[in-house]
Amino acid sequence: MEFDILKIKNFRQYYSGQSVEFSQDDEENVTVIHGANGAGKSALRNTFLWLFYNEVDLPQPKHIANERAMAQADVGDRIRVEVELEFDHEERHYWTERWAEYEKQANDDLDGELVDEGAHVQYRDVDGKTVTPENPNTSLERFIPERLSHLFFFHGEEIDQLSREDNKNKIRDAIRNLMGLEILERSIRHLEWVQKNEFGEEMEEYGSEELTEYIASLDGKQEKLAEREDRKEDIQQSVVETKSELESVKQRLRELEGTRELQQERDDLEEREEQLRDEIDEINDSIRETCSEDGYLVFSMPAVQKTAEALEEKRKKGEIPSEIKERFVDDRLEMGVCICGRDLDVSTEPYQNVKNWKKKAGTNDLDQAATNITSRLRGIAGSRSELFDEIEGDLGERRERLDEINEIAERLDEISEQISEKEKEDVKELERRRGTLEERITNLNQDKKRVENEIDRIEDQISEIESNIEEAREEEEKSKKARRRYLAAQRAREELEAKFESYQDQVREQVDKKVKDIFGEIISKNYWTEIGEDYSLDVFKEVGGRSELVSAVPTSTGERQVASLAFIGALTYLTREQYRSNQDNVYFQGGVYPMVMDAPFGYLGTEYQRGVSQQIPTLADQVVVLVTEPQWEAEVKEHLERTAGKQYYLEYHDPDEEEEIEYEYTEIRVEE
Amino acid sequence: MKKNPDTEVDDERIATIIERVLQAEQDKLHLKNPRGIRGEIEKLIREEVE
Repeated sequence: MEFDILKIKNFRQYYSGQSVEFSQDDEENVTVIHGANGAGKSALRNTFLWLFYNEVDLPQPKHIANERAMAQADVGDRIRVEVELEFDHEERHYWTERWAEYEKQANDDLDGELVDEGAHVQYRDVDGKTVTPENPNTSLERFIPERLSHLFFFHGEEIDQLSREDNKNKIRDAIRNLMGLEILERSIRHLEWVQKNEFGEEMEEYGSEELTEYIASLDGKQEKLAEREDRKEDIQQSVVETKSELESVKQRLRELEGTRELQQERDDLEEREEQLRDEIDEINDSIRETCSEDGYLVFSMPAVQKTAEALEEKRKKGEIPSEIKERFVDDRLEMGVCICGRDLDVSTEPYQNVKNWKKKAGTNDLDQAATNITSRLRGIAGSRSELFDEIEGDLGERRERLDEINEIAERLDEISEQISEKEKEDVKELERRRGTLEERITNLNQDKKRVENEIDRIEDQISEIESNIEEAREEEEKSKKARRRYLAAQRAREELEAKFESYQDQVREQVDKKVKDIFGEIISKNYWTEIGEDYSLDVFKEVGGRSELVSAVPTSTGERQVASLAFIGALTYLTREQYRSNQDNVYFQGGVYPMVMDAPFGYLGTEYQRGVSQQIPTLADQVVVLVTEPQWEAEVKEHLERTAGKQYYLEYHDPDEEEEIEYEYTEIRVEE
Repeated sequence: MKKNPDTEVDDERIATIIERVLQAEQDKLHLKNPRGIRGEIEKLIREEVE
């Protein structure tokens, strides 16, 4: 990220429109902004915080609009506050803006009421295409994480706090975030959650032993079915064989002199019986068809009767058909004459009396509907009667045929008896054999029917099991897929955990070394820094051959401030080097960050000021330094002036000193 | 150890999953309220492991 120009309008003490163009020169990369205490250095640093995070780190944080602009406005007027920043970031040129409108509520209202606010982000990419992100606030948050803003937009008089014991969390957060450890940590945590809560639960939901059980059950049923089908075939074969033998017996009886006529009669009767049974089957089919088509008439009759009674009741009362039609009443009212000849003037009593008839009158539609219903009800009653007649007719015909079959059976018994009474032994034997074979065929047919029923039942069971198997297979496939995903999430997590373990020590050592180097460049005495296992940033001094912790000593503010600066500088340096190395590393992509330093020489003695002012230009590609005049002395001025590409002065207008102004404000002047 | 073809996911696929997870985390790293990251990770694993 490299700043181009900052434009401020009516933000805190910056009255109307002001701007700062930042130095982008490689050699003179420092922009110095001079300002006395209270002139607006902190407010200027806060323009960045307001723009990126919609927050300010100032007293009276709700007081954003410029007092002078508010004072000049009339009640009801709106004062617009704007901060715009143009910058380059990751090969894109950005235009960003945050604005807010405050409405003046009363003559003495200098804060105004916030009535509208917003942000806007636009960038031009490497291909020259201009893009406007849909969510500007999210875009603004992404550039520099808010929780690390104290590193990149820092206040020098507070910066020493970084190296205090209670701030080691900030050190750890900064290292983890900027050096890629946080991404690894979060990825590991989220992968574990997804693995266990999503795919783990899915595995449990779909995984079961049902499929194995169904397949075993299907095998059993199929075996049983095959057995029954074999049995059916055997029976059919027996029937064929028995019928053949029966036919031989009958043929023999037809050939014998004493039985020929009786057997012939029996053949005819059996043929007739078969014909009658066919006819009975047809009658049964007819009855079934009739019941299926018109059977509802039997069950709907109570409702039909009730409706007919209700209509009859209305008819008796004279409600249908109506004696007077609504149209007739309307016609008389329109004509203005009653059927009795009386004039019907509107608003007269006779007119009202005739009009009241409309309430009793019926419409043609209603009468027609009632007539239609009555006619349909009569039709239903008639159809019901026809239905009973038809069924009764069929039943009668069936009864006749059954009677004839009974008669045939009696006659067949008689024939059998007559043949059995014949003297000849072989005739008796033939008849006995015929009876046995007939009985066997009957038994075989009954067996066949029973086996067929069993086959139907087994086939139904097989069909159900097959459907269950298909369902269980789908579930098993889902379970397998969930397991693959579970294991994939687990492997990804384990690989990231291994990466994290090896990388975190490497990162700490890398940062520790760079902090030591920068600190050593600034403080040449026998001091050094250390980033501990617990991420504390400590300063040590060698006293009598042993290390002594000095950052805990209250008087060591200067050393702590330098250590903090060295830490920020180290992170800025390492992330910039990573970004420029073009290493393909998703978790540590690095980045180029500018540094905005408000009063970086706050507590420093002359010796440290020299070191810091020498180091500042090297800490980041672009540095913005806000200084008071007392800080811009000798050593600092000498070193920073050489690298200062641009310098500005904050010209503070104090109403105590300038009679013509009523409210304080600051103007940004370029050094001529 | 013998691999189970029903549950095994190849190394290349795991590397893609890791890269996509890290990229999703990177996109949300600096947000004040990063939402929906678990859902994104679940979705990308479903896409990668069919």
